This record gives sequence, structure tokens and C-alpha cells, in this order.
Amino acid sequence: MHSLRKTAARFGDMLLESDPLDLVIRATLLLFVGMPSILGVEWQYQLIIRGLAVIGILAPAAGRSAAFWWAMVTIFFVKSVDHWWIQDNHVFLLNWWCLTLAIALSTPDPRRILAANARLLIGLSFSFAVLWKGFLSPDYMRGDYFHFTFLTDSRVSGIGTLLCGMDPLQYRHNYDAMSLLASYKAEVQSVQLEGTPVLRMLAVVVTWWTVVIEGALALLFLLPSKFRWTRGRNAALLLFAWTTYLAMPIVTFGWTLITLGLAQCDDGARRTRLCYILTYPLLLAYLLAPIWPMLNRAASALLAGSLVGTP
Amino acid sequence: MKSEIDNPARTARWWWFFPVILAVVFALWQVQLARRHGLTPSKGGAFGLFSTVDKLENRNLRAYLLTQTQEIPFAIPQTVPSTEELRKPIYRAASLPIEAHLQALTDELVKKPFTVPFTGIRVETWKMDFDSATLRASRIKVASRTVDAEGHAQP
Repeated sequence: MHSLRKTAARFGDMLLESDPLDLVIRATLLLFVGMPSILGVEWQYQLIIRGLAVIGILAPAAGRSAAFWWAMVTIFFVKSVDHWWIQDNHVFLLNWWCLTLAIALSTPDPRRILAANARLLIGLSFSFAVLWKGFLSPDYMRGDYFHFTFLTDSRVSGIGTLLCGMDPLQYRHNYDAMSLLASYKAEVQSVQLEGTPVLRMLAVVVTWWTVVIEGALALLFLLPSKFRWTRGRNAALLLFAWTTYLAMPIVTFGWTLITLGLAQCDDGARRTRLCYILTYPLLLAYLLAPIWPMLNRAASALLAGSLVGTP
Repeated sequence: MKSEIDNPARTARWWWFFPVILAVVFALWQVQLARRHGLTPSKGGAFGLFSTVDKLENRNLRAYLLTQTQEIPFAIPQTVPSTEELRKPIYRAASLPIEAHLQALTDELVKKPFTVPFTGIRVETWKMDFDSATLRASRIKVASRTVDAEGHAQP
């Protein structure tokens, strides 16, 4: 146990003492190796991007060269031209990020350019997210989006069961109703879903919480650092990652944001950097560990125990 | 105290921020396409993914084989062979159902060896809508295109 702790401490020190630029480059390349959804379905792109990423990880000098990142930019841009209408937002963000790395490594001051672009890209991502949610989307502010998601997305059914009194039969009804609506054989135009009032309330709370935290993040990352409260930008981004992806485990987007967060982190902020680094495995744990079913079982056991104890 | 990365030693050049400029231009273009041409807000790079139920996975393509007497619905891509070549036209027609994308899909579909003699094909793109107050989920038609058996557009 003691040696395990020592090894972990040594590993932590090694990570924190490594050059921040190298750390960001490696984190980006690991994202390309580990997250197939970024690479699309065509094997050609998967092979080239993953192959390049492995080279960049194994040969750090290659990963630090501008030519390497211009090659990566070219592949990502060709892939995007081919797929832009089905490409997820974070893949666009990674396009801009690869371009940032290519430009930054072509200059004598890469760290500063990376940090400035990362900060702006995070701020703009959240600004556009808030623009869509608050102003462009006709249904978001009514709570429709999260309500619909909580009723029909199996990835978040654990929350509905644990906190909102939804039962598995209601979810089964909703999944069947959605399948019917999508079926080419059925000319059904609308279906009735089942829910609970508490679930609707939760949807409204999450709707507003999301707009507030995303709006705050947009401001914190877009305002110049001379404003005092922009010091809270790292804490806010980490809070966003730790809470949002617990409820909605979208690891690829989370890792992309964390990589950008790491890139704009001050070189001297060792503790913040450590928090960013630890967020990678945390988000993976959110995805892989059945957290909500476990909480559900614990709550059921607790409830059963208290009922047995009632006279 | 200002950090090193906020305290530049040399003047910034505009092209250092070219990625940010591109990000803004593409996002504004996406907003325009979504509002004017039916692009799903969840795609295209403007971060509309978690803002509406009109996501790509909630969009629905419907196809009908038109004969002299009836319209026969058929599944895309289940009943049509060679789905690999159909994949791109299908996604394009669902995500951004402009005339060119729907035509590209019908062009592929009319080439398929259907067992029923047909006079034309119609494809439709539908999006999802949800009313939180009544808990009703509905589908709404975004666009459709009808072609004859040779693939020529019909009114």
C-alpha cells in the first residue's frame, strides 16, 4: 500500500513537472488514440489519425514539430469537408485546436498562443451554446429539451428512477412509443409519453442551471484576465465537467474541453493542472462505473430498511 | 500578478488567432443554415447540440415507392441493398435536407432493384417536436422530394 502511494506520488510529480506544452500535446494525441468517435467511421481516417497520434506520443520531438500538426490539420480538414453535416461539435473544436497547435508550433512563442486560443475557443464554445439555448432554439427555455431527454434517453434513466419516481415500465413505454414514431411502417404522427411531475421540475432546474453555468463560463473565458473574477475560470470549468458529465457522461466532449482547459492553465498553477489531469480518469469513471444504478440500489435498500424499521 | 501567458513579450499577430476566427465564421454559417435551410442545430459546429430535441438521431427519413395505384413505404436502408454507398446521401438528407441532398438520395434509390414496378419515389425528412406540458412527442415534416422512375424531379 505504501509503495503504491509512493508510485502514484512519483507519477503525479512526473506529470506536473513535465513541460506544460508537452503535456497538452500528449493529452491531445491520447484523445485521438482513445476516442474513436472523433475519427468517424471510415477506416482510412481512423488509420491515418491514430497512426500519426501514436508516432507523436512515442516520438515527442515529432509531436512538437509544426509539420506534424500541419499534417494533422490537413487530415482533419479533409475529413470535415467530407462529413461536416454529421460531425459533432467537439470534432469541429478539435479541428480548430489542431490548427492552433500547428500555428503555435510555427512561432517562437507556442505556449502563449496555445493558451490564448484555448481560452477564446472555450469561451466561444459556451457563448454559442448559450446563444442556441437562450435565443435561437424555440424549445429549450421551456424545458422541453431536457424533459424529452430525461424521458427517452436510456443514458439518464438512472437519474429519473432515483430522484423523480420514474419506474422501468414508464421508460419501456417511452422507448416503445419513440420506436413507433420512427417506424417506417407506422403512419403515427405523435405519441404520448409518460413521466412524473418531479421529472418535469428537474428538467426545468437543469435547463436553467445549464444556461447559467454556460453563460458564466462564456464570460469568464472571454473577459480579459485583468478582471479579478476571471481567476475563477478554471474552478468553474472543472465544476462544470465534474457535475455535467456525472449526469450526462459524454466523455469525448468532456476530454476535449479539459484538454483546452489544461492548455490555457498558467504554468505555475500546479494544483489546477493536477485537477485537470485527474478529470480525465474521472470522466471515464463516470462513463464506465454504473453510478446511478448503484445509487438506486443503495436508495432502495435504505428505503426497505426504514420501512422494516417502521412500527 | 499577471501570468506569463497573459503578459506578452511580443506583439500578437492576427494570424495567431486564425483558428478562433474560423470557429466564429463556421458557427455563424451553421446558424444561418439551421435557420434558413433546415440543418439540424446539433450538427455543423455551432454548439446547438443540447439546445433542442431536433437532433440528427431524432430525425426520421421516410421513403415511398409510388406505383399507379398506391404508395408503398419502405425502410431506408434496411430493405435497400448496398447501404454503404447510401450512407452519405442518407445522413446528408436527414441532417441538411436541401434539394441537392434529397435529390442525391433519390438518385441512389431509383437505381435499386425493387421487386415492385414503380412510377416514382418520394423521400421525406421529418424532425422531432416535444410539448413538455402535454408530454406529446410529434414528428414534423421538414422537406420532401418526389422523382419519377428515371430520377427526374416531380412537382
